[in-house]
Amino acid sequence: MRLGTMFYYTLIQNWRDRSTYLEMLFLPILLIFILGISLGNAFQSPFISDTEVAYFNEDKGPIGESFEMFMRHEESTDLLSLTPVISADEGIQLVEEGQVHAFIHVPADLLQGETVKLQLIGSHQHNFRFTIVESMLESFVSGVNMVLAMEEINPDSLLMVRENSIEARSLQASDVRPGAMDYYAVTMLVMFMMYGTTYAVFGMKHAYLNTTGHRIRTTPIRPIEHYLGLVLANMLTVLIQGIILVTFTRFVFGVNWGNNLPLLFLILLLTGIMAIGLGTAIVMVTGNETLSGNIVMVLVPVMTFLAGGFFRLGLPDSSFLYYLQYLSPNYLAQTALFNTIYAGDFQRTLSMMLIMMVIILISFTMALVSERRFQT
Amino acid sequence: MLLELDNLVKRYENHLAVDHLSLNVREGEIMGLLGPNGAGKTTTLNIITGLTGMDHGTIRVFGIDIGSNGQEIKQDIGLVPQEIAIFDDLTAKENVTFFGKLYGLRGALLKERTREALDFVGLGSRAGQFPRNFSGGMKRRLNIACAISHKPRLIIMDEPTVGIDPQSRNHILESVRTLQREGSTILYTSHYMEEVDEICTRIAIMDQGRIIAQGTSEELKTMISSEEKIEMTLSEINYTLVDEIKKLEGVLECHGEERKLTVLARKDSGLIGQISLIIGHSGSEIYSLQVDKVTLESVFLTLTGKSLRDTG
Ligand SMILES: Nc1ncnc2c1ncn2[C@@H]1O[C@H](COP(=O)(O)OP(=O)(O)OP(=O)(O)O)[C@@H](O)[C@H]1O
Ligand SMILES: [Mg+2]
Repeated sequence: MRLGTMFYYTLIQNWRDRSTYLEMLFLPILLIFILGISLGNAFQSPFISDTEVAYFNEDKGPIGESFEMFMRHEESTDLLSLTPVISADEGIQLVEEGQVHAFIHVPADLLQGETVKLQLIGSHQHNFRFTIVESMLESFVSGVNMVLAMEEINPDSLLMVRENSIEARSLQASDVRPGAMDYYAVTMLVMFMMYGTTYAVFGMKHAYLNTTGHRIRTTPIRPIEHYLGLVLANMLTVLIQGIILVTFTRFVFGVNWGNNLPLLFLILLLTGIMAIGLGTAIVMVTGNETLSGNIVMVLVPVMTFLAGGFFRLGLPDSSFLYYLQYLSPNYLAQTALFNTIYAGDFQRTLSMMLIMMVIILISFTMALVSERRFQT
Repeated sequence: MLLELDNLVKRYENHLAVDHLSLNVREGEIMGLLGPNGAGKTTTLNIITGLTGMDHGTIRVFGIDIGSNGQEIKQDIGLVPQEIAIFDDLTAKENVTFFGKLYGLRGALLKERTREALDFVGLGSRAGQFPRNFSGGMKRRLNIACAISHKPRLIIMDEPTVGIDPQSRNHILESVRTLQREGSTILYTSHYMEEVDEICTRIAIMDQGRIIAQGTSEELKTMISSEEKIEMTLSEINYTLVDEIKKLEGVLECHGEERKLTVLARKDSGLIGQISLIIGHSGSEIYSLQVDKVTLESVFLTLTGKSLRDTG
């Protein structure tokens, strides 16, 4: 009951803090609009046509064969236009000259050595097309891996299973037409949900650590109800904000949010909890509202940048920064969302969600441990 | 005893904020805790309400040790914190309702008590307004309303009149008396000796974490003063007059200067009548007469060697 009281009155306060709430809704909508329109040309005009992909297939074995099959299947769905080339150099040159959006190199003996890898080379001007080809390739690889795993058990089933397993994991062509607006809708949504940390910072400071918080503690409410009431209300505030943003951009800007609404909702929920968890941890660890506010104001844009929220960074795989991305909560949320919306790799969505849950667990633990310091 | 504090000690690093403090408050009292800034008043109250831990000592509220049944005790205490602790984004009514709910009030009773509390502090007509537009005094009164809607047995008020206009102050002081009449016991801290003197049934004087004296206002005053000072302005003064007054039983000292006569006498010796007789006989006339009363201010001064005001 007292938890409900805490929850309800925190929620209506967040709601009444209209200037903040409207800012949190208006700014992202504005940013999505501006970024979407101004970068729209770069994204959209070539998009009316197919994504041009050059490939050089050196593998004459089952992998090469199934790769051809897979790509042809994708081509037939009007998503790709394929150009086979006869050397890696030629492919790279085509990318550099802007004649194709990406080049895929399937080396011979892919299964033989550890160092032999599928190569994907794309141009930075075409982030989105690159993303599409990349996730397509990922689907292909996971399809192959699955086939290989089955092969271990029963070699005879290889050919029969191959086509099915690949098809099942391919992108749904009809949906995949993301433009700049679609991209920024996702990254700005995540960024502004992460700004929800400020609700946690100011809310916890005022109603938990400051005099009013002290006063609440002298009432018969249990500490856990006090804490949870605040955290849940702040979480719901951020979640509602996310849902309004999704709805608005869907119906006004026609942004594509995919078909898997329950999963989309779940990711938004996790993002909201993560934002509140981080904010709570920051304010509890520093014990200082101004400092926490400043940390959030710096941290959120940096995390967004690192996650390619403003523009795709095109970080080379296995570089230090590439791995650093995984530390950016924005990256996790964005990747999960993109994979959900464009029916990409579900495994990847799942692993992103798992990392998010770990971050949530760590931040709330940190918050609870540091909170004890204030019990003088 | 409604509240028993026994040997409380609270140390901050190497500074003793509360130094072996013992205090008993009886049911129905308005107990004043008077002390300058930094005396340890708020710290003591925080220990009672469980906000601050103590290094040593025991506390019994309603006869129950506070360690043993926190929730039940909290239910019957109302705290008015020194700093205003309300929500600017909730209306006055919602603020009182919020705290009322935390204290367990529900339904029709909650509604009724909320309205009562707001009326009580004179904010009934402003129930629907947001406190961010309130004056300092109105915020203070709302701060009080949030602590009383559940009609607690013990109300703890930490300097509820600090920094407000005289009208709001009088309103608050009157409310404190009313709360007492309605059956609550009040622990009232302040560093204004006039208001403590005015409303408290008993007073404890606190300095540097210790209670240096306690009793009723009268007891405290008698404790330090055994004499009173009578000052008169006369039409004329001569030596025989001064000499004759000096001879009176109970007069400790007398001296005259121009037309001013100062007499220091043992307290309550009832000398004013005899002195005026002598003055009349000498043919002089009294233009003015003033007996200096002992105040809590002077009690504090005597006990600590410093003025309450200097430290505030
Ligand atoms: N959290 C704390 N850490 C360190 N010292 C503290 C803390 N809280 C209070 N003190 C110190 O304890 C002493 C008593 O403080 P307290 O607030 O109880 O005084 P007070 O009588 O309420 O004064 P005021 O009239 O200014 O409210 C002061 O010297 C203060 O500096
Ligand atoms: Mg104080």
